[in-house]
Amino acid sequence: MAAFSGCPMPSKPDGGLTVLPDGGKPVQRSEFLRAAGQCALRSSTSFQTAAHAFAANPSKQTWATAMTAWSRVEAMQFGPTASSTTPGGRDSRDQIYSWPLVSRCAVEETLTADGYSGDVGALLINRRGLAAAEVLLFTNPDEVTCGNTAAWMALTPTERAARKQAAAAAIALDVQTRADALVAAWGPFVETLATAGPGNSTYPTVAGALNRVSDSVFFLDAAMKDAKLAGPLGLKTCTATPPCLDLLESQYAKHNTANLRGNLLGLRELMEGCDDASFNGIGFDDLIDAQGAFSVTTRLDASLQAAQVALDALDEPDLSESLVSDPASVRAVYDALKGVTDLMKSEFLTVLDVELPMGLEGDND
Amino acid sequence: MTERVRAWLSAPRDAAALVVFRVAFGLLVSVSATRFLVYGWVEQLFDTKFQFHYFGFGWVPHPGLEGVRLLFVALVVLGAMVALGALYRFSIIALFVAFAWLQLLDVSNYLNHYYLVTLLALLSCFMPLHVMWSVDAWLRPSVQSQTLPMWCTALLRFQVGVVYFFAGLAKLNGDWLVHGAPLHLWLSARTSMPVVGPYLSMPEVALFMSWAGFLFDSSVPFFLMWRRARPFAFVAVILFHTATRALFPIGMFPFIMTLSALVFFDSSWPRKWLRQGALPHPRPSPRGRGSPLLPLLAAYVAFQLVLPLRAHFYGGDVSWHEQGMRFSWRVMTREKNGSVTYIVKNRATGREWHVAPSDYLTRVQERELAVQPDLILQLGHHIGRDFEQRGLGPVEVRADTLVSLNGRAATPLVDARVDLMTLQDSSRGSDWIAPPTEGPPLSALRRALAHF
Repeated sequence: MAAFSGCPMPSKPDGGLTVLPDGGKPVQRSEFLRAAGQCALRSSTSFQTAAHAFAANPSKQTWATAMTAWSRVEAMQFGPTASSTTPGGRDSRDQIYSWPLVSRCAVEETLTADGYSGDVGALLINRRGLAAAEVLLFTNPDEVTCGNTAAWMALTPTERAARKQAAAAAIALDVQTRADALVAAWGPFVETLATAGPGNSTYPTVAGALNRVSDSVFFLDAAMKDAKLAGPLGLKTCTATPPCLDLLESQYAKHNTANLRGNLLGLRELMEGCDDASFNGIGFDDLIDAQGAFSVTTRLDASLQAAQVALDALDEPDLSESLVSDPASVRAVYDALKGVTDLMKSEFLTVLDVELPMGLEGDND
Repeated sequence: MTERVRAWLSAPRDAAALVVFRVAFGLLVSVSATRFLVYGWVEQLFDTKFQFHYFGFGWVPHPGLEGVRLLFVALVVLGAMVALGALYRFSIIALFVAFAWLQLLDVSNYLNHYYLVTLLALLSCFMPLHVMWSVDAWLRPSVQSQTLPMWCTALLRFQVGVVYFFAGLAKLNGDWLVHGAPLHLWLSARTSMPVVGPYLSMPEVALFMSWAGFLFDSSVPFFLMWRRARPFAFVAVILFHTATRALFPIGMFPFIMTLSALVFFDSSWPRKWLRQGALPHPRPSPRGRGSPLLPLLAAYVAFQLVLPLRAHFYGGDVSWHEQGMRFSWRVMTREKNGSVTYIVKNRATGREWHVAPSDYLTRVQERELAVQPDLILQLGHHIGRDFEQRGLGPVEVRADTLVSLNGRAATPLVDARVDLMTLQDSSRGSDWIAPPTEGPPLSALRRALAHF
């Protein structure tokens, strides 16, 4: 290193341009990573507050608030929030909200077997978390269809309601614990993300770190567009006559439109900026600008706004009603999101030289 | 003339250099196969629901995941046997068959350097590279020889030279030489590299490296053949491949090319390293003069020259339509990404489904599919058949695609109006492939000019 110590080092690496057309300075990739980490921390902290309120008073209202806050975090699945198979991942997402791995039957089996009076954290993920709490809070205690139904119906209505409420409270406490752990993990992780590069054991390269963050925005493709919309619209796995309402998210709470809005909010914060409600701040679009690909930024931002407009045009809080009364409005949301994902899979990946999620690190030429 | 060529090709040369090539080649195959087993790539690349077959090779059987794993284990062993020169005739043929079989299992796994390894293994099947420094020669004196005919060296030099030359030719286009694309896109993403990282985002660096890469690829085989320039050319080979290895995830390719370049050196070079005296100038062998080898060699050489050039017969930009892309040594010449959604429609009821390729493919397969029209067609056929087998047919299948090449605005790759079920894969031109986006790519030149 001594040999290099006398050499004048160049200024910090830039993203391609030295000056943007508006006279501003191009955003560095490390700056973006710090901003993305801070954004995820901020969202997680908001969710933590909502989770505490939910644990203090497990009700339909506090569940909905927590779910809305969580939907924003869900769109930022990198770092501790992501799968443990990714750098720094702690599986927090699945621990807090496992949809579509959720089963009303499994929840009711656990309920009738008094399984929520023990260690809730030890239960399978499809029997706890926000999705299981939804089943407990939003279904009728008299309509248990699985487990020991005879013993359950032998309880008095008051006992049944109390048992269900106690189970929801136990789950809410577990969610609160995991929200605390998520925020605690995100605190130091922002710095880990921002200092990606040589010497960083979690992210040895900036490109690798950037790729993990970009993976998370493809949540819009697989989860929002395909699982949450194409399925119920009958465009995917369902072979019955559409709509396929049993594929809807949050179908008991009728909260799926709000979930989608939370998801899109989180995604727009990553893509456009996270400083305020107007999406100011550093986002992926600033990195694209730094590459000189201004038209990509313009079209990407426009497509995100179009998705927002389509989503805001949904009148009903529950997609099951929109799918029946006005399926075209739901299809419009799907088409708008497809417009975003088409751009992301083509120009976004090309300009930033990132890979699709789960791309294989291997030989190449 | 023909007699003189025949005599030159059959003239004996010191076998030492090619024997070292045999050892290096066997070890590289062994190490490469070991990487697949250790890193879990066997499962990631071969544990698939659907396989893309090469045109005309749909008959190749899939041995199943366990079978694939066994083939890789076999390659580890066979590579070592080739390196040792143990049962060489059997081991090199078995290595070729196993390697080629694996390559033919799925087009989406195609890499130029795997194709090169397949060809080198094929050529080695016809060369007695076990005549010295081998277990065979040690156990069976009848195998022993200090020389090999010149055609062995000439053919390997030709094969390695072809890779470089056509890789250079593929870079002879405006995107690469004028706009520095796609190199500047790749380099801008690698600014965290120690020492050089800060410079990599400079457009001037991308333009310089684009030209350097083009000049290196297109000229290095000729400099390697020129005795006086050879040491300098080999240093350039080492520097070039070290740099590409550091910058890009290209696995074993730099090692294969660097070691293969050794075939250009004097046939006795290993003896100098081993401090053995040079072999006395061997006398021409009368055996080879009447051999039927010349027509076979000529046919192979002609094939290897024509095959990469076929891309030009299709017209248009091969990086866009991909016809003639494979087996043409177009190594790392484009950055291309895209989105594909299949629109499946029941002809009778009009019911429509949107099918994501990921329903059938791994991410690696999906990435390849999104930019290669023949793969889009293959999967379209499969999806159509699958729907019809599930009782949802008869169906028409269209592909809604959007692809960006070297940072250009994304545009459809195939005509979304065409029912893929009515098309057949063909080596002829395909009018269902949409025209590319007009205009320049995302340009390093523009950025460089903006700096000034």
